[in-house]
Amino acid sequence: MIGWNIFIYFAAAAVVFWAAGALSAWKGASKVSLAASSAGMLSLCTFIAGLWISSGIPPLRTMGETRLWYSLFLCMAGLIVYSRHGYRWIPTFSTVMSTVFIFINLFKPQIHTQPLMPALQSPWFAPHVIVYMFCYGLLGAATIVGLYLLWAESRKPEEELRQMISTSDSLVRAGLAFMTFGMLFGALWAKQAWGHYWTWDPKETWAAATWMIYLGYLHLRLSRPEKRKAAIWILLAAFLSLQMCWWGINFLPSAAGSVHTY
Amino acid sequence: MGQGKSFTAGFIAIAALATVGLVLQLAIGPLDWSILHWPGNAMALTAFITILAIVSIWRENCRAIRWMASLDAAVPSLLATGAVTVIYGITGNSSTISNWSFILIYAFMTTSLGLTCIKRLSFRLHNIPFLLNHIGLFIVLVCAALGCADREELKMVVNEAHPQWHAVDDRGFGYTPGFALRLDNFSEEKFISDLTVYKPEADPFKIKVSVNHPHTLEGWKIYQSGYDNYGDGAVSILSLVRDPWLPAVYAGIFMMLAGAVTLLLTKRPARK
Repeated sequence: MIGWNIFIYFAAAAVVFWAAGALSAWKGASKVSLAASSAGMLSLCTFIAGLWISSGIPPLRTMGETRLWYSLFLCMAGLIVYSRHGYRWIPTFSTVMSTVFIFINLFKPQIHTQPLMPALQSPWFAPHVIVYMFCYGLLGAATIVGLYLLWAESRKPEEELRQMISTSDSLVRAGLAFMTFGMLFGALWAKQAWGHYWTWDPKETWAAATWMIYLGYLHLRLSRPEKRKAAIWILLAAFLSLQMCWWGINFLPSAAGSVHTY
Repeated sequence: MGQGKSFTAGFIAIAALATVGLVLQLAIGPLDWSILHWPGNAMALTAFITILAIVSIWRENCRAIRWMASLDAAVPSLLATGAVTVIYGITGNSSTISNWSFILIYAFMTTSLGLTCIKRLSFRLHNIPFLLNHIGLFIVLVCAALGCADREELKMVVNEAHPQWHAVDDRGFGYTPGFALRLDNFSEEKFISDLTVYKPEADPFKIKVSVNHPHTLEGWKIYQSGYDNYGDGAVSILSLVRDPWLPAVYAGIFMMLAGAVTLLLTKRPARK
């Protein structure tokens, strides 16, 4: 039986492989880097699959469980970007981010074994959360590109800056597609469970705001590619809104009655 | 309009709309969405689309209309819509959706979206992703807003003692939906109501309702909403929902889902 008590072994293997992947990317050994990062993901995948099998329900219910997916998809997004664009620092970034989430899980384990509440027993549950986790991974990666661009603005040649922001555009485009899936799957599910597709529940409200701000970024990039700095600030604001949507609302008094806080 | 100034124009227009909204709010109070019931909402929808179409005829001759149908209006209107939604998210005040400033900013974005859809209404293959994403969102926004007044949601409290013929809406008005429900059994573990349905001049029959598994009866969808046990017997609280605009909203939602697929499959459009 796979449970949280043996998480540390899978976590250690994943982190070691990812670190090796990050290191070999800096050395220019891209194939070794891709292989090592994949091995790290495999370790985490095994743990998630084991958790899923031993509990019989998709491990997507608690913050601890969603962090597992976040680590996994962040690493996967980094892997895709690295294999496509070849930026050497990408595996380092995804390793650091994924490791942070793994450490949070190690130090604040949220072990829940009680049966799933009735509202969550739905075929919409797994797709709704998985596409959101994937979206968070892609947009997290886009945010790091944005932060790098802020730093690089006066330090790097124009050609590189252009390439970087077009990476961010691709990440946001893909992330936004997944966010659209997540939001609309949520709407269809809400109709099935509660009788209405949209009730301005705090989570829905923040999801809509985040969606609009990312759309603002994409439309600005289309209309005024030269306004790079403005675009990056919008990107960072959108990411803050995304954080509010993901976990920040748990601390908002206005969200006390939300259907999304369990 | 000058390149740099057209965003500024957008933000000024939005600030003006927010101010008009504030004045309206003080003068006539919040919008009562329920006045938009059938056929008023259908007339409003027809009028809105007609106006968008007529206005589009003058697009090439009128700078303001050309601007409304461009990315230069899309960017400020999306950011402003995001911003008012953030404010709603922070305050959590449910009266926000009846607030005129909130409504006018959403309406501004929707108008810009509608004019852009008309401008780019071409069914060539490369334009399909654009149409799915934009027309889909337009349909969802307009039909969800105009359709909400026709949506009916009743609460029916059923018990094991006798069939319940009555239900109440959120204002406390009583309705008789034309059938009665009696609770046979409630599973506290799985949150399932076993019910018997009674209709005039028909044999009673049994149905099950649980969370995530509503039951359709006489045009109503019956949802499991709550449960209580008062010692002298269990009561199950059911929601009866009727939403005639739902198919239209779903059409928009499925267009947007298809549009999101095309976002993943296609490259981003070339810059102008």
